[in-house]
Amino acid sequence: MFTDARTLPDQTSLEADLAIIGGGVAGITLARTLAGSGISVCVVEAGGLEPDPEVQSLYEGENTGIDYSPSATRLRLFGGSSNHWGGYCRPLDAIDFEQRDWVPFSGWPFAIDELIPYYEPAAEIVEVAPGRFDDRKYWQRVTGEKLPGLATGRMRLQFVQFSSPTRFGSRYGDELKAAANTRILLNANVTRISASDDARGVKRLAIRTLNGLTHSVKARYYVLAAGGLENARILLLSNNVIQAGLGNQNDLVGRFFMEHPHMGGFAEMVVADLNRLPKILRERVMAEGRSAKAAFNPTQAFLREHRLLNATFMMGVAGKYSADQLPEAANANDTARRDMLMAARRFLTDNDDAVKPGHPDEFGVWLGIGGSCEQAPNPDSRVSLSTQHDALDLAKIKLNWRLTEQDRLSFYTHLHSLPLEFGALGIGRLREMVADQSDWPQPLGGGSHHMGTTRMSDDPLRGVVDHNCKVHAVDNLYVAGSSVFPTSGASNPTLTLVALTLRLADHLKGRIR
Amino acid sequence: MTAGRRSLLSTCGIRRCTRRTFLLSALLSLTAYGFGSNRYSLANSGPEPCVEPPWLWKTIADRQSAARIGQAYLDAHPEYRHCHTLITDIERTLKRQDTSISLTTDANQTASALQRLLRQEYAHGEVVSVAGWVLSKTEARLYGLVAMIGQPLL
Ligand SMILES: Cc1cc2nc3c(=O)[nH]c(=O)nc-3n(C[C@H](O)[C@H](O)[C@H](O)COP(=O)(O)OP(=O)(O)OC[C@H]3O[C@@H](n4cnc5c(N)ncnc54)[C@H](O)[C@@H]3O)c2cc1C
Repeated sequence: MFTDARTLPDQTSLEADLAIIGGGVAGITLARTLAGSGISVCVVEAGGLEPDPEVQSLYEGENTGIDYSPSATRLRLFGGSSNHWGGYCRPLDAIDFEQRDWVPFSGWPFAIDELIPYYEPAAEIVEVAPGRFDDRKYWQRVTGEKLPGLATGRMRLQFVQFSSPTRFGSRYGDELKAAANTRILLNANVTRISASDDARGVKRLAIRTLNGLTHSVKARYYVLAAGGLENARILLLSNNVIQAGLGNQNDLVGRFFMEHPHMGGFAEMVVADLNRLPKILRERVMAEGRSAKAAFNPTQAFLREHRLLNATFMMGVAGKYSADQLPEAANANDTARRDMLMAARRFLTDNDDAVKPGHPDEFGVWLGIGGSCEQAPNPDSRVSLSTQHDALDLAKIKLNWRLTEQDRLSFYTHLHSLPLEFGALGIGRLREMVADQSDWPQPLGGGSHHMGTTRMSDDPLRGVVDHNCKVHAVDNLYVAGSSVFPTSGASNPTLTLVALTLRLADHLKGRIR
Repeated sequence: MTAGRRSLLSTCGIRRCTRRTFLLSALLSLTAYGFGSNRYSLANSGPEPCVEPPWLWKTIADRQSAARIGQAYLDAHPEYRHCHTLITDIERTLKRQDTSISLTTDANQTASALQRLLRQEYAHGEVVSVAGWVLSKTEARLYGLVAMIGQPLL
């Protein structure tokens, strides 16, 4: 059932076994999984079914670190940020879960094995199943193109699979509407999680609407699923008992904010013979109803040997040169690419001589390369509360996203692997475009991936939630979403956060009955 | 230029130079340049073209493009701005990779060996940066050599 909180009588109090704060990817996944289980669920969602600028403005915040917009990188309506996500899906790597002595604060409380059973169901939910993320033989077979074996031991091929992309609100809304024991309360902003006097439990959720009403939801259990920035904000705002905020007795809530630094324009590659670069390495291919593209990722052995953070690179054809274009190079970049294609032609083609005029592909292409990388957990990269207030008179977030030298050096080391791989295979020549590698390539942005602000650790001095995603020292409050990631890996987070939410659903089923 | 170097070069005609005399001349010219040569007289000696090895044009498809990249390499690595140094270096590296290779008899074989060598150098990270391009060391020197061809000998 859908209920618009703005139409309820003021001060309505609702009850359920489980209250979920946020009807985005995690909240909808959890509610769907529990539907029909006999557990009554109330999803409290700040937005409505359509985007609304007034609602969206509640996501604005102050930014004091790397240029980053807290409001443009998420959406406040039913379905959450899945309403504009890109659909890139890939699980984390096994090494991402490990405690790595060269990565401060690394180590999940469990190994990847714990999530393996949940990844395939998660892939179904984001509609990319079956997951073939590491299955080069499969992609070779369905594309009919032999994939190169990388030669240096530094990099390996993995595969990103693309969701259509699934818009969780429209895709699963009707199902939830019809589900027994499930209520979706729309346009209902949780302003505080009210703790019991000893702060060991949650008593109720305080809710406000933009038309001035105040409601509450009381439940036996609560799951905070409001996204990676808002999860921290809501805990910090919930300071009726613990002044620093609920779950924040060790000053960890909001710290360790991680993004995946995303960069482009730092390198390009020329390829004289596209037959040497299978299609799936340069564009999305559709096969058996699935869409995928290869990514170049460091091998785990290389990461260990050189004590590096994880990273991922993808490439796409950005321009073509035909033989006709040769005499006149339009600019310095064209000249440089043309020179390289011509000079190295005999190393890059089987048919070494003739450049036949006329055919657009005949002479060669250049490819743009995009990369994103893991950042090391950093307590100074953080979300805190601003002195500015929103339309509900709540403190906005103050975001200070920071990167370290370790992050940058690691990225450049991986970048240096690419020309070696392509040179060793005789595929192409790569040009690095960043003259000063003592700085990040510009523009530097994020992937709208908000991670780490309520990190997971069984040690309350190192994490806000335990391995079950339960807030330490609060008996009935859990967190869902990528804010619980202790480290980020280099994979897009949504598939993993859905897998974690399914695992949480199993735990809650056991606990609530 | 010292008298010794000059006479050796003059006995080694540009096209008819045998591999052995060519290498010998290269070696001696280096030695002469390095030890007590009179640089002033070198500048006065008049242009001597760089001798191209027989395999070179089997590997380079376009001379001008390669020369432009090669010039950028030489600008950044002036220690290689010497035709004989480049040739000796490339051939020595080739020989190290394939001891049975004959550099004088079969240019095609040398060209294929160069292909393999370049790939190996990439695989082992033996690369240099040339105007942003990441090139195997031998590849960069090849282009450097192309840039030297036709230029006066140093
Ligand atoms: C442009 C863009 C592209 C992206 N592309 C990818 C991609 O290709 N691959 C990938 O893996 N990830 C991608 N992401 C990230 C992905 O969208 C998120 O990982 C995912 O949506 C997070 O799910 P969530 O449930 O934690 O948060 P959300 O989906 O953001 O859901 C949070 C929900 O909580 C609600 N809410 C917030 N505050 C309150 C409150 N106080 N009270 C009640 N409800 C509240 C919100 O309205 C929202 O519905 C992208 C994100 C963006 C913005």
